[in-house]
Amino acid sequence: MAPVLEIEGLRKSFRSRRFGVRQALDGFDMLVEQGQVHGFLGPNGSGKTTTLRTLLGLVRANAGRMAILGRPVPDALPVVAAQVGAIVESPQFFPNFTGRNTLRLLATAGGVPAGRVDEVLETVGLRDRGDDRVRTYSLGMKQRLAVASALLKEPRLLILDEPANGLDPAGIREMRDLMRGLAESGVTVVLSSHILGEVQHICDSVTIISRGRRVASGSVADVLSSRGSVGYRVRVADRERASTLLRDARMTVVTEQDHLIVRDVAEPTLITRTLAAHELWVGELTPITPDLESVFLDLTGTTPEPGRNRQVDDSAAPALSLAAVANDQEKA
Amino acid sequence: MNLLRAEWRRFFARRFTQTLLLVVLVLLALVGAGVAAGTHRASPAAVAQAEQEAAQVRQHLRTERQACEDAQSGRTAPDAPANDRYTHFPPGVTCADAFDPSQVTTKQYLPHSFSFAEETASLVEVFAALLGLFGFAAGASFVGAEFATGGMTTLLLWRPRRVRVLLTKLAALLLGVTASGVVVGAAWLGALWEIAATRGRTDGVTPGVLRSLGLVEARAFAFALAAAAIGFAVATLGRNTVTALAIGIGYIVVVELGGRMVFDVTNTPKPERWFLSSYALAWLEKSRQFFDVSACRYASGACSPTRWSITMGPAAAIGAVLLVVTVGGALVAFRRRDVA
Repeated sequence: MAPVLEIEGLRKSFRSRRFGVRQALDGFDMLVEQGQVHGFLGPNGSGKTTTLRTLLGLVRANAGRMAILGRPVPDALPVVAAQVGAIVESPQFFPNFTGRNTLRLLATAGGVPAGRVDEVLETVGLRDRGDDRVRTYSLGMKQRLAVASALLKEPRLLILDEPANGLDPAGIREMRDLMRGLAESGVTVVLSSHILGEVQHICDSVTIISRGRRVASGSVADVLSSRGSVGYRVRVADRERASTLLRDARMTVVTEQDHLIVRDVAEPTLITRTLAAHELWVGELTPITPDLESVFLDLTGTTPEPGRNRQVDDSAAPALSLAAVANDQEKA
Repeated sequence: MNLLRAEWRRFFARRFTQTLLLVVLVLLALVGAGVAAGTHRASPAAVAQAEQEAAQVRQHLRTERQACEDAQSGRTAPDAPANDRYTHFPPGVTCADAFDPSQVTTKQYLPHSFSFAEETASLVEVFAALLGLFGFAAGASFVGAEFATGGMTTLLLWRPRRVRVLLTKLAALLLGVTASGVVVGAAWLGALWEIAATRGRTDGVTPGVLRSLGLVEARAFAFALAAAAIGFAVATLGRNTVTALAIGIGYIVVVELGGRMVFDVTNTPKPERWFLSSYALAWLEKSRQFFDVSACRYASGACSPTRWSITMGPAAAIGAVLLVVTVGGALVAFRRRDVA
């Protein structure tokens, strides 16, 4: 499938008198293929929004190559902008304008037929509130309006930064269905979100960023399997005795209410063999696969530790890729 | 064209623009009410009495002039008391200048009667000042609020050509200010004509007067549009409305008021040349005359202040430089800087 979005070796640093130079993006790479719902994940301050802003021409990159729909950006942005719908962070709208008027102005500016405004208001569930002033909208309604503004153009690529922000559970589910429906109709969706369960549920592929560098990418299944099994759930009648036997066999065992969690075991057959040798029969032996949240926390080094207040910049700094190192050496 | 249409609609849909327009209308209404309250149409009896008073004063001045010339040429009787009034004129001032009957008109002895032909130009300057303030504040807010609310980000996601976006917004602003000015200006002239017709005088409105008034209006619009563009540009550079308004108010307080006090204390010659308001007035009035009193401050005896003036040409040049620097700077900065 042709890539809809390509980023290679993207670098961006911000300078300030007070804090000096801060590297926001440090050789970041990303690839999104057509028709996918792609999750773009990273801890706070990892460079997600900077990446999206750079991609959309709001921020100038220091180095790197980017392309949208096969056209290099930012140079070709005026050409591809009509096919890209985006919301970056929580967009604000003039509070005294109605939702419908806000969209009409955007439609006029972008040369979109006025009839499209009613269609997107219907799509995001604001049909009956379109003539209310934006100041009367809840956070979730403003978010719906933002999504509506991104959908106005009937985009081929939809970039949504935290679209579920402020949405109620029903709204989150509606948003999920909307994105799936868009993907099925051929729209590529790039979704930046911190609701990892949601991302795991709806995304085909993900890119995880930490400290401005890519730490993982690929299909959700591949990213999850790359971390392997984290242990096995074992149900057995005599949990205490089984626990002692498995520990004696150099396995790590955690006793839960009605089962054991067994880690540090090379083969699951070792568990059954160890217990069967002492006439303990296993009722259930299930591998525990990691969820996206645990993989994310592990990869980004942001797993909470009891008694420690993690700071926003305390995340894992992955090693530079060989290409990035070569690039650095070339520059030096 | 689509963007221009959208920005035009946005300009007039904004509450700030609507409120400012209302403020301009209220202020003009107050000035108009003041003009209406201060004008009286003279009755024939009042005119006759004023003519009589003026004739008496003219006769008195003729007598004084004769006495002055006699005193200066030594034709007075040797025993007549010396009269300082006739001998202590500033250099260059003659008896004919000091006692000139032609300076006395009947109008001076009548209650004030608003004349459309003679006084409208100065009231167009009031309109120009208000339209200029409206343009500056509306221009600053038109782009400043976009930065503050993130509207600029949304707009650039739709129209990524930054310079074109900013120029289109500026064009929409200038068209909006012009349209507002045309409507409000027409209403203002209409109101003044009505006051003159009902309570003052409409005589002397010749084609020449109307042409001159048209030119004053044109200069008023140019002034207001320049103010709007500068407000817009400063807000773009500062990326919010408050910066532009603070710079505008700061300039008035620090330079126009504070600077005047400093120049007064230091007795600086021709202090008006350092203030933009002098050039604005010179632009609106074609030429503005000032009196430099610095040489007379510590002089003993008679001293005539030096007359000097600023004409429309230098005023236009100063305005153009200011316009080019601010708008050009805003375009360069907007093109290069990251949009937060």
